[in-house]
Amino acid sequence: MSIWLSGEATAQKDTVAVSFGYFAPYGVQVGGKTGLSFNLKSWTVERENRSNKIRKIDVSPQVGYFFFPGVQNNLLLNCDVAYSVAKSGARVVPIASIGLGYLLARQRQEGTVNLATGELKQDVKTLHYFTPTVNAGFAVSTKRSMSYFMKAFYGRKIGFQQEDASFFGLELGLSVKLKREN
Amino acid sequence: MTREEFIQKSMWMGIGLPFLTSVIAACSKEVLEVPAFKTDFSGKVIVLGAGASGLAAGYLLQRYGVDFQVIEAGETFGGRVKRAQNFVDFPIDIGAEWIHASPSVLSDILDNPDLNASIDFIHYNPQTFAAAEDGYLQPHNYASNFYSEHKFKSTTWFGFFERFIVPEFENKIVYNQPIVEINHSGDKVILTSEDGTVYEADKVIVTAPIKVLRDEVIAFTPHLPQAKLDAIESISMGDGLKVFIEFEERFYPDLFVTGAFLSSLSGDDKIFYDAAFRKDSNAHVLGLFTINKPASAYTSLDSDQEIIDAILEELDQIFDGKASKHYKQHVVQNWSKEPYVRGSYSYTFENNQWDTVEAITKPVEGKLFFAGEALSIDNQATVHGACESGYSAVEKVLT
Repeated sequence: MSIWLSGEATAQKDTVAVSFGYFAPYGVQVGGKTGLSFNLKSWTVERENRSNKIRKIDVSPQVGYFFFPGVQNNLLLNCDVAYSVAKSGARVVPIASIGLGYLLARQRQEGTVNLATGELKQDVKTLHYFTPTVNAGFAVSTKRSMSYFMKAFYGRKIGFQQEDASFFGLELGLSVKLKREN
Repeated sequence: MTREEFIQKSMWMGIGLPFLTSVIAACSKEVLEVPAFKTDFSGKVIVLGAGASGLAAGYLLQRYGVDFQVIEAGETFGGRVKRAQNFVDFPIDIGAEWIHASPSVLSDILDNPDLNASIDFIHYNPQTFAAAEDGYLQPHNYASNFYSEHKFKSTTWFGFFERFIVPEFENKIVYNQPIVEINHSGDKVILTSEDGTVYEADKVIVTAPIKVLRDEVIAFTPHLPQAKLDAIESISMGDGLKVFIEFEERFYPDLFVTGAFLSSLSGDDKIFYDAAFRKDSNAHVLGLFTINKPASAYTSLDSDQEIIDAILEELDQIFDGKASKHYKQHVVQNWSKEPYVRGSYSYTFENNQWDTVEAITKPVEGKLFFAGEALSIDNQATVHGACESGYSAVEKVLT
């Protein structure tokens, strides 16, 4: 996600950024995500009588957590590779990326209720998934070192013990540059 | 806001799909509180109906040492809580099935801290969803991330009442006594059954389903107040059907619908589901739960055999003939044809739900009280809502 930050179209090369965001798979599950972003490559396309265009490729390892209340807790390790292109000096940068994640889900499947106290004992099963995704969104730079971002993702939850399912949702967050080369 | 309204508004907002209501219910810790109060009541109470609401009323009356009887029209207790015990290797709820709250609500219902017992439950969180549209089964497995409720694992709602509620006052339940008239014109309330047996009480709690009241199966003398009749009339309760079919092998997802997926779940219900999901069972049992218009297509048929034939034909179209090929046995519960039920459960309220419930539960001359699943504001159309309503009626009777 911090890839959004690196979309800021300047002549600088942003080397590292950190991001924090609200992560809401399926729109109703609740969670958060944080990550780093490393710029792999950036280059400027000069255009005669027009603003130059800056193109970037970033890689972003991320860790996320989200939960389905009362049912499931999920830990996601993900890595995105993002491509962005924007006019030099643009504040809003559209970005597309692809990602591959590993999802560890702890799912409640059955339990026992104590009829005297109402206390619940839950049996939890661990499930494993791969989550390839495609992502699209944009980043909005507010200061030289800060951006807001929003992106939608869509992909698959490929289960080892479960049937596959679609994996989609939204991310909203803030990205901060940690290191910059001029 | 009724459950139906909540589901529809969630759909319009595009946020929670029809499942959000169940997620919220599943998260709530305590949804039912058994009332505690002081009473100097010394008369006799009759509870009309031994469904969930009537049984809960009896349970509380017994706790307060009140002289009471529960009069049931049918041959057993439970009402719309009903069980198929020996159909396969696990008991099946052929009436109310889901626990639409945290399972701790079972403890709330019993309200007995000295009880030394527990019940196992499952998180009913189907993993494979599909919609059959134009004969083609389209997967919607993402829905498992929206929907989860609870079910009993090795018992049923009927088993719960049978083990923990009914034994408390079993000798006070009278069966096979459909009441046809309630005369509340005098000091005592006189109830007359179909066979002419007369019962007398100081106060009566009527827990008959809303459709039975609407159809005036019971004649009240004098008539109930017009405001109450109007309120009863304003609650819809459509047809209801549950069917369970055992197959030699499994060929269906955990849950599927016919028609467009989201609209099928948000409108009138008709779902097929793996009834053995997370049960300790080797049987392959497909359940059909349907209410309102989709149910009417089946309940209006002349016999259970016609119903099962229609369902198998429908399944064969979706699953390339596998339904007929692997069919073993079935059980049909046509709730619309049950003479003392006449449908599924309360669904829509024409007017404000609160006002409607207030109008119906308002005691008539301090002698007639009403309870039932339709009359729980917070937990309408649920078993624990029926219990809550029964408890509430008892509190009104005794205080």
